[in-house]
Amino acid sequence: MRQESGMPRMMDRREFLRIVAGAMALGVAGDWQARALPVHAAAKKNFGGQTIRVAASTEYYAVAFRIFSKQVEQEYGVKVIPDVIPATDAYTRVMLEFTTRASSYDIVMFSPQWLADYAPHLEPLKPIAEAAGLDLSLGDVLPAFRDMYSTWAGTLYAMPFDGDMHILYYNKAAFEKTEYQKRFRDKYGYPLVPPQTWEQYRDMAEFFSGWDWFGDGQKHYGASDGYRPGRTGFWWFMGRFANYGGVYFDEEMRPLINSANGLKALQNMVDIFSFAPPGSTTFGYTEVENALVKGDVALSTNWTSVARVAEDPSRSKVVGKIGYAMLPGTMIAGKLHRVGSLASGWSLAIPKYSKNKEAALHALELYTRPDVSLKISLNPATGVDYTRRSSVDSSEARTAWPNAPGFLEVIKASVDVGFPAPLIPGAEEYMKVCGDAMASAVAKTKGVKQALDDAAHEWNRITDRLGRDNQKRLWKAQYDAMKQRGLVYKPLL
Amino acid sequence: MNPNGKVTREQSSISSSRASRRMKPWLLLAPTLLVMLVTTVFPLAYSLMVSFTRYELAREMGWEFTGLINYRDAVGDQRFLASAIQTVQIIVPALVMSFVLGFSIALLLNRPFRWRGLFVSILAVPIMVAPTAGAMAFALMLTPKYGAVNDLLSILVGQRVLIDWLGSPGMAKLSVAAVQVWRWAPFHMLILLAGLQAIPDQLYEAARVDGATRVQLFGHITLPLLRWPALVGLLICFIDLVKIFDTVYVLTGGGPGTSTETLTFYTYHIGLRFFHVGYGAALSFYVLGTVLLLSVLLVQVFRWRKEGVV
Repeated sequence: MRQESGMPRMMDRREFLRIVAGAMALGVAGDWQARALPVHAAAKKNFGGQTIRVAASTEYYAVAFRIFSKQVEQEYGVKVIPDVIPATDAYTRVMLEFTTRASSYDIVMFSPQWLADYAPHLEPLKPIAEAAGLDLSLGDVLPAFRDMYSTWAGTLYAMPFDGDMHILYYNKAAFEKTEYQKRFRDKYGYPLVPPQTWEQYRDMAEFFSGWDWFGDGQKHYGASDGYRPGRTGFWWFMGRFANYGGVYFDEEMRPLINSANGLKALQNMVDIFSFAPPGSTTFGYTEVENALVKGDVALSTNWTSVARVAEDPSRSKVVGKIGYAMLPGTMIAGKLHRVGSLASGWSLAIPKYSKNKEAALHALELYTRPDVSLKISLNPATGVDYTRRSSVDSSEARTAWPNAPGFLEVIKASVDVGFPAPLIPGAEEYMKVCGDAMASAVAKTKGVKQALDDAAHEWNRITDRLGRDNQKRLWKAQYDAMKQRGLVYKPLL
Repeated sequence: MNPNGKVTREQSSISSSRASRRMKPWLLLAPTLLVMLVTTVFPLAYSLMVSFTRYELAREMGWEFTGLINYRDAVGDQRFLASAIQTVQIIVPALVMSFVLGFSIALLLNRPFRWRGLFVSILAVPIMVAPTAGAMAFALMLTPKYGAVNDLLSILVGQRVLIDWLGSPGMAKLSVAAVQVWRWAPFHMLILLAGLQAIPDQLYEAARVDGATRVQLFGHITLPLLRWPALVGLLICFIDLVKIFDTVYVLTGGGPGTSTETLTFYTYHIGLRFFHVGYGAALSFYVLGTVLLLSVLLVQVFRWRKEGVV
């Protein structure tokens, strides 16, 4: 472990535990006091310049850590050094350290799908927060993020930092043109309004593809989505799969990605790919965002942080022209089935192997504190999305740009019925296999059914490799939690 | 020994000196052998042992000896087999094109002209560029809408060109191979240029006196004498190309779909991304075996040619 020269001697594990135990003994009786105290007012401990390292998974997350590093130092005497690990390598790099029972980082940022794999190496947060007298304001965290993306087997291991989800973006200016509305109705027989279903999304993508509906003398395209293989492409598949009523496995742990729900979801992606800008096979978050904010496409599905970029005149050609909606759904048995898609997300946790746990906990508390969390989320340079109810309801968020209230309503509606990624061990591998299958079908190296059948076969291999009974038990726990939120499998014929 | 059967001092001294002479080379080699043992032999033996186990590094499941099961599973792993085929589809054109291009440039440069040294240095720059950095530059240049390649083509043909260089399996493989050609052609150029300059002028002069044409000079003097530099260059290039990883990782991520997934790229995902180290080790031994087999075969073919067997 790292010890900065000139820094005060760091506590060893035993010393830390002794302090925690002492603090707990003092705190048990006064537990109500700690709870009743205003946010982060309970303890103003000073760590005398102790340095902690944070594994930030992209540069824009590191920006968020840097912006408030002074405040952390002033309040708690903790120096924060964010190290950028590319998001694509974050799982491997951190996990590799964990397997050796070590960590170079005092705070790790990770995608909640890795929580099942990371949990044995993380410090449960509640006991040490209570011992330190820190209030993490958990009641304010949006329940989907708190319950599904921060908690594993009933234990809170992390605090949500970036509340990710996918929503629908559409070019309002194009959708509201009378001429386009008439042409669309004449061709498809229904009005040009934000799509309610993925079939409508396909029609609208087709309608806007290959002509200059933007009015700048160039050819424009229908829709931009992410088709990059692996984990990246998985998020776009997941949004469709969930809205076609699919879930990942049945009760016996048999994959359902190659069910009728999966086939229809993937077929929809393949169909819409024809109306996407050139180069889309390698598109991920940034490229899909660019296509929307440069006015290349009329429709797009992407993370919520895109909204701020679309309203930033220095980066966007579509300021004030973008509308928002929940992801499209599907008509199942005569009813519209429409859910949100909790794509990715990023949380903060403290590795068991950190030698600066208490300092790390204080920094973590500050970065996820309601007022700080709101400021980070409002800053277009950070790419961080809301995780807290107070942020979504704040006047600052509602007045961030003229159409912001509509955007916030979409977030609330989406998160309440947010469909999660797989949260069982090996989730990263399941997702990669599925994302690769999607990309193979889009690239036409495999048919839709073949791609998903192969992926289902791979999923079975992963399950067997990780132990079928254990995986089945853990999937049941996830599915039970999903059912409680109304997310149940809806078979399609 | 003296008649009493005892070893004399002189005999003892000779024996000791012989032993010392025998030990000296080993002592001199010891540091190198030790380093090789630690950095090459031990990891190789260790990974061979791991390849016979079910070992999930990320899970606390311990080791389980499974014999040849990982090797058997690899044979039935469609994705592994597909990655082997895709590796061949990428590296064979890359190997041939880089060699032809490097050889052509070497022939052009094998004559005295002003600034020749500067030209050679500039042309050798791709060898000095880190492979990942080179792949990243190509990733930007090959972007359909804003990339330099399409812009250049647009200027040349006088209308907007929007080729999706990484959009279809065929084009993506071609693009990955092209990056390898860019990287390896200068290497062949340097080796073959050195080989060309080592051929004595007298051989050409004598042949010309005998009335040999330029084609005959090339076919009967240049090519045979470049055989060994060419073989060395091809072997080094081939071994490196089989390990192709960085360009695929940066440029295509194995896509579109899994169409540019190569052996090492797949093995990396199995062993180092998802930590199935037992199975990953078995896959890596297949890669190692393939490289060894093909290298030996290639050397043997050249030997047979030299001996006139083929």
